Order: sequence, then structure tokens, then C-alpha cells
Amino acid sequence: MNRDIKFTATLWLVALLTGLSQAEGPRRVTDEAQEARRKQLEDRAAVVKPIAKELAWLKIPWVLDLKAAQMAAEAEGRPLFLWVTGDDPLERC
Amino acid sequence: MSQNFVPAAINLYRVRQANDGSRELFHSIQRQKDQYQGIWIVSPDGKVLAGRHDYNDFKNGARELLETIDASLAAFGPVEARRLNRAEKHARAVAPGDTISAETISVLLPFRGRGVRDDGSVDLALYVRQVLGGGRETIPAGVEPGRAWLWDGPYRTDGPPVIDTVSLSADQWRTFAPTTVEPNASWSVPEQVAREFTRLLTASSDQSAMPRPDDATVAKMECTVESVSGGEARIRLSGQWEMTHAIEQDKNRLLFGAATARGIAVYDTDARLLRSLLLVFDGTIRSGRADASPNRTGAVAEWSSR
Repeated sequence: MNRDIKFTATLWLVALLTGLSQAEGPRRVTDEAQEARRKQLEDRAAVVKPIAKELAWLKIPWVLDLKAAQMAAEAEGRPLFLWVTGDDPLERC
Repeated sequence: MSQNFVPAAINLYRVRQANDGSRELFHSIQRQKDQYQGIWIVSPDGKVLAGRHDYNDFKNGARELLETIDASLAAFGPVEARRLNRAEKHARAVAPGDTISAETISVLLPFRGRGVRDDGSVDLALYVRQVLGGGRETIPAGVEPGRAWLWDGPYRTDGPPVIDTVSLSADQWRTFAPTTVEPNASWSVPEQVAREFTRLLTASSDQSAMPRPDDATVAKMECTVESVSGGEARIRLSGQWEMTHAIEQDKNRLLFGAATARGIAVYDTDARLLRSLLLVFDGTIRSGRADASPNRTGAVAEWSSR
């Protein structure tokens, strides 16, 4: 009797572990595939996105008004650096 | 730049309209060094010290500009290094005649690429630039063999980045969230929402050449829930766009763009909110004719909840 119970329990345990293993197997593959795709997308995005060197101009405290800039230059006794374009230089061209 | 000068970024058209003395000052500067736009270095009393609007050698353009800057400083004489503390920068950022810096942009655009406004709208951060490489196996249909070299070598940049933003209303944003949170559930983003990404088909920040949502002739986006676990659903995104844009002021000049996109999004199944989104575009742009030789564009749209 005890041996039958042990045998049945062992079968259940084997079946349970087999089932878990089968259920976990494909899921791991899916996770790995998702992770690989996420990394591939992030690697591509990193190429397109600006690097720090390309954003160096953002560190400059640009004044957007010529008169205000001239007044600051007079007050501080230093020259103006004017960056002039046919639209807002810091926005859309 | 920040230490020796008062740096100013000036809109040519706006300064011509100004009635605070800026117009006269600018005309005087232009008369002294005649150029349509570009760089002028000017003493506080309006005397032009140097100017530049192009380069003798594009590859050495940065060095040439540095030489111009050095020459202007030599002509002006010594200046004391300028110090702007954080408080001063922010004071300027919110005052008339304010300045723009990375800090200021984060103040002005606090939702760019992150977070949700109280009204449920979001701003996706966009980036576009011309690219090369990635492998000939990724060449889209319709590219003539003579341009296949554009796909040779590793995926890499071929021009400066364009930085932009697209705002999506709460209703538009909601279309990226699943209504059925279970694996393989799929849905289409409405065409009207997909059209908002048409801007990513050119690596131009010139508005005359920038395609608008109405320029899209194809705008499709599909979403599929790939997995649900640990309180989050992972969503796979794909899309396809085509557009024809007429250059402003020259309606006979047409631009033809096409792109596909792949992406991922993460959805919080407990909070029922999107946590992140990343879309990566791969496209071609042709100028003049639909069968003209293409150039390539790469683009990114991204957002995270924090």
C-alpha cells in the first residue's frame, strides 16, 4: 500500500516536473527572443540618437533677443557672438 | 563660447521686424560684414570684429570657426571669464530675452519623452538622421542595385541628428494600450494616429521639406501582446509609412519617403498604463521623382513613464 502511494506520488512528481519543464522551456525562449529584439532595437536607436558631443551647443546659455544680448555685452564688457539663421536657430529651421 | 562671449541665437526674420533698436543694430552689423546669415562677432558698441557664413573646407569647418573666434578675441582684447551660476541661468530662462540651454529645455519641455500630463497627453521624443549600413539583406523592395552600397557595412550615421517632438492626445495615446491583455492579442493603431509619425520620414528640420500627417499615403501601425507576466505585458509594434510632400514655395518639387518601423512597449497590467515605448524607423527618401536614387533615414520615437 505504502509502496503504491510512493510510486503514484513519484509519478505525479515526475509528471509535474515534466509539465513545468515543458511550460518553462518555450517561455524562456520567448524571453530570450524578446530580450534580443529589445537590445537590437536599442542598439539601432543609439546610432540615430545624438551623442553628447552633438548636443554641446545646448550647454551654451543662448540669448534669444539681440537687444538684450547687446545690453548684457555692454554691462559685462565682452563681445557678442551672434548665430543668425533664416528662422529660430535653436528650433526648427 | 560661454566664458568669453554673450552668445545670442537670432531669428533673421524676427530681428528684421523688431522695433526696439535690434533691427537697426542688425542692419548695421550686416552692412559691416555682408552676409545673409551665419556668425558675426561684434563688440558691445556694434563694431563687427569677425564674421563667417561658410567654410573654405567643410571637413575643417570647426577649426576655421575656432580661428575666427580666436581672431575676434585678439582684436577685442582680453575679457574676464564669464560666470553664470545656476540661479542666474534659470532667472534668464524665464525672463524676457531669455536664454536656452539643456537645463532650460528640461524646464520648457518637462514632458518631452517622459511622463503623462494631467490631461493624459504625452510628448514622444523624436530623432532622425541619415544613416548607412546595416546589411544588404535589409534593403527594401524598389531600391535599384546601383544604390545597394548604402546598406554596406555596419549601421552608422551619415549626417547630423534632427531633434523633434510629437504630441499625442490622451485618446491617441490610449490606442497603444491593449484592450485585451493576453498573449497574441493584436490591434491596429488608427491611421490618424499613425500619420502623426510621418515627420520621421525625412532627416530635415527645414519646415518647407518636412512632411506633415496629411502627406502620408500609407500610415499603418500594428500592435501584438507578446507576453504577460510579472504585472507587465510586452507589446511588439510594427508600422509602415509612405508619403509625398511638396516643398513649400515650390509645389513642383516633390519628396517621396517610405519607412518601416519596429518597436516594443511595456504595459503595466495592474495600473493599466503604458510604461515605455520605443519605435525604430528605417526609411528611404527620394527627391524629385518617385524613382529617383534614394537616401536613407533612420529615426527613433521614444517615451517612458518616468
